[in-house]
Amino acid sequence: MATASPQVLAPFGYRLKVPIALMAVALVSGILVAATTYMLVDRHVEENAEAETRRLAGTLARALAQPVLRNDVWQAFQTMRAAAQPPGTSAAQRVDVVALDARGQVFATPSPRVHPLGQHLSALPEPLAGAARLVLESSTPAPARVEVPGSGVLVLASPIVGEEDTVLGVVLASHPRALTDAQRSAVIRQLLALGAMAMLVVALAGAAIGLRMTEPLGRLRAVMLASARRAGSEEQAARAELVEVCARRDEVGELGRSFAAMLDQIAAQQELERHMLEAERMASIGQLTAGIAHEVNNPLGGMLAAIENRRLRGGVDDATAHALALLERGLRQVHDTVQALLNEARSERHALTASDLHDLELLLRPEAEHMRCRLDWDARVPGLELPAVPVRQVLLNLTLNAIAAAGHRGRVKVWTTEEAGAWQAWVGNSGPKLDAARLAALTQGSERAGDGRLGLGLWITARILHTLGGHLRLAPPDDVLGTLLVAEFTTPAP
Amino acid sequence: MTTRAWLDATDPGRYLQVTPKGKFGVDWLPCGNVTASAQKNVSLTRRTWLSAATALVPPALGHGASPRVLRFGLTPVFLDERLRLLQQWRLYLEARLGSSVEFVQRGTYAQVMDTLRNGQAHFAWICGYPYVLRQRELQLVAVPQWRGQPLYQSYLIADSLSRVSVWSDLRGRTFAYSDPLSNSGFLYMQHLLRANRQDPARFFGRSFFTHSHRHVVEAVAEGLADAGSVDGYVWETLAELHPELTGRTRVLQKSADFGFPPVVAAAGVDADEARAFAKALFDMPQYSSGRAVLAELRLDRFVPGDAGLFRGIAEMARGQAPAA
Repeated sequence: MATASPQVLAPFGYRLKVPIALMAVALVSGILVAATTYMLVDRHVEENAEAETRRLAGTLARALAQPVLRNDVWQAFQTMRAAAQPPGTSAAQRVDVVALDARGQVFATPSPRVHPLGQHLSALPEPLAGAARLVLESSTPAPARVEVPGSGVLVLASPIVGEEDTVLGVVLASHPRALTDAQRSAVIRQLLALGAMAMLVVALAGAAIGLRMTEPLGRLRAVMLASARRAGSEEQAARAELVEVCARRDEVGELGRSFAAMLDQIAAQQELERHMLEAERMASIGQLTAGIAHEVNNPLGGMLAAIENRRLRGGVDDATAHALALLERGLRQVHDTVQALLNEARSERHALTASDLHDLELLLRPEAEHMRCRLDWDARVPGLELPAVPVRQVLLNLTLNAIAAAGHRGRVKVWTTEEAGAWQAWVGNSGPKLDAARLAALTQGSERAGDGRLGLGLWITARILHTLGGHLRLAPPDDVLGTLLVAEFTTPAP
Repeated sequence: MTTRAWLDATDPGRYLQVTPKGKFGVDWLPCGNVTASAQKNVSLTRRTWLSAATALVPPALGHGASPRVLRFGLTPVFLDERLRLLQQWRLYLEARLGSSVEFVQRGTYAQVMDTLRNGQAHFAWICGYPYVLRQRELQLVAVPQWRGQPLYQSYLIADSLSRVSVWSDLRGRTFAYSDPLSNSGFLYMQHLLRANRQDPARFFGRSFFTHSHRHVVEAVAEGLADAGSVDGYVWETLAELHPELTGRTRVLQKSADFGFPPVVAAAGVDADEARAFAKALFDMPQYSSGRAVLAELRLDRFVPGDAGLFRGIAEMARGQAPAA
């Protein structure tokens, strides 16, 4: 049952599987209980019947002493009929009782047509005759018990004892050992009727409990589907629903909380990516602007020098002097503007400093603490002159990804090395291992991570590195750090 | 709940049963076999109830400061285990005699005869056989009349499934007698065997007494006995009341007519008292309650009898060893 159920119920969802499984368990339990009850009843009836028959034989033996002594057949008959065949008993339930006198002849019986009065014990069925002989031929009055193997019939014989232990006769009582057919069918009928009712009630209760148990799962499923669709109002309603699910203290609540955390992480990642794209765009604009300003600045210097040279040479009439002044003012204005642009661009392109790395660490620590992730930070300023913004972006992105990958109570380690004109930033995490093929796919932007650990961020990181002339590679993992990424920066081209 | 029965002033044959109801009200319920249509519930005031009660006390046997209790012995010459019938009969007799009446029932005829002898019973309905045996000690009070005559027969019955057809087929078989002091249930069969030169003590393989005609019928019907000797009046009454029982028996032979079991008084009973008791029995057809009892008994009436009615029994008794 336990192995078959999952396969049989495989096409159904948990919302059906659980109630159906509970119903099935209730039904099987009911059948087992009914079968056990039947066996117990059978055994109980057997024990009871023997005890009752023994008691009946003993009681009749005592009651018949006087009728046998007085040869009062009618009194004996009435006593035996009342005791062995009380009103309301069916033929199948009646115990076969015969009283024999000391000569071994039938003295009285409630069934005189079966055992006529005066019939000798030799004409009785063997079990009855055998039991009678055991008592009548015994030296001391003692009851006897004869069981007929295979027939299920038990005969109990009790001596009718007079004064001074004189055996006046014997009472024979025989009964079927177990349930009669009529009793058996009655018991089975009642068990079936009552069992069916009980099982129906239990099965319905099981189904109801099952539906109630799976209801939170259904709500979580609805919330997850609604979140995936991201329809405005529906998502808000789903969020409210998710808050309710998260409030539960059971596994469904845990699932809900994990899902909510995942949604938050995805949102944060998306926000980060948006910021990085914007920063990159701004950096590109800055680079372009600086390039233009640089290109414009050189001719401007030449033109201003040419105007100055013309003035020093003299012989400038008023109109020319006026034109030169006009040109100079114009060029100065252009120069100031360009100079301002150059200054601005130069401010975004400053070299990486220790304070930049320190700022970065300050930025990342709270995120690591939020995840309860251990962050070991040992990034040092490179000897090379590297642009601060892209380096910071690369380090920020890689470290955030590592924190997400390391997960709750994980470990992230960041350190730098420098050799042969190259500066390497090592970012390792204790999360699941990342293989080279997957890294390649992620950095090429051809695959998005379903769990949000690695996504567009790696692609952007790879592009920034590429722009800077560096690259991202996967280093061999060690015992602690399952994934170790190395961002290698080289000296930018002049 | 019944406290007392009173005669209904509007019908001397009807008596009413008084049951307490509320503080002063009483329910007047017809008793016995009074027809259902006659049933009525009448709430009376206490005064009406007392005056009606006083007016209805009959004069017979009503004198004296403490009326004696009349004890009436019964034997199974009729179906004496019918308690409702006995209740009806007792109420009728009490109403007619103005005395309390108690029925005295015992296990055997001899025990009932002993109650007459030792004063435990004043009257008794006994069999003709003990009557002829103790005729000198007894006063003949009344004889029931059944089917127009104060006579009845003894029936020799057999198991309806057996192949027995005449009495002689019963040799070596099991036989059920009623009582050693029963004419129809013992004396007649003994006489029949002796008349046919058979020894009653050895003719049957086994015989036993049931001390009741009804039990003889049951013993034969159940197959406990192959045959039995029984009061014809009892068998016929049973055939009406319990045909399923008598249907399992078959009448092999009917005897000549005998005097019906009489009602007798003990020797010490006052003659006036005996006459009053006899009159109460003779008057039964005049009262609806008495007629109801007679109908239940399947009798016509009680009539005066004489010892000559029992001559046949006396002749048979002379051939029988003294039994009591």
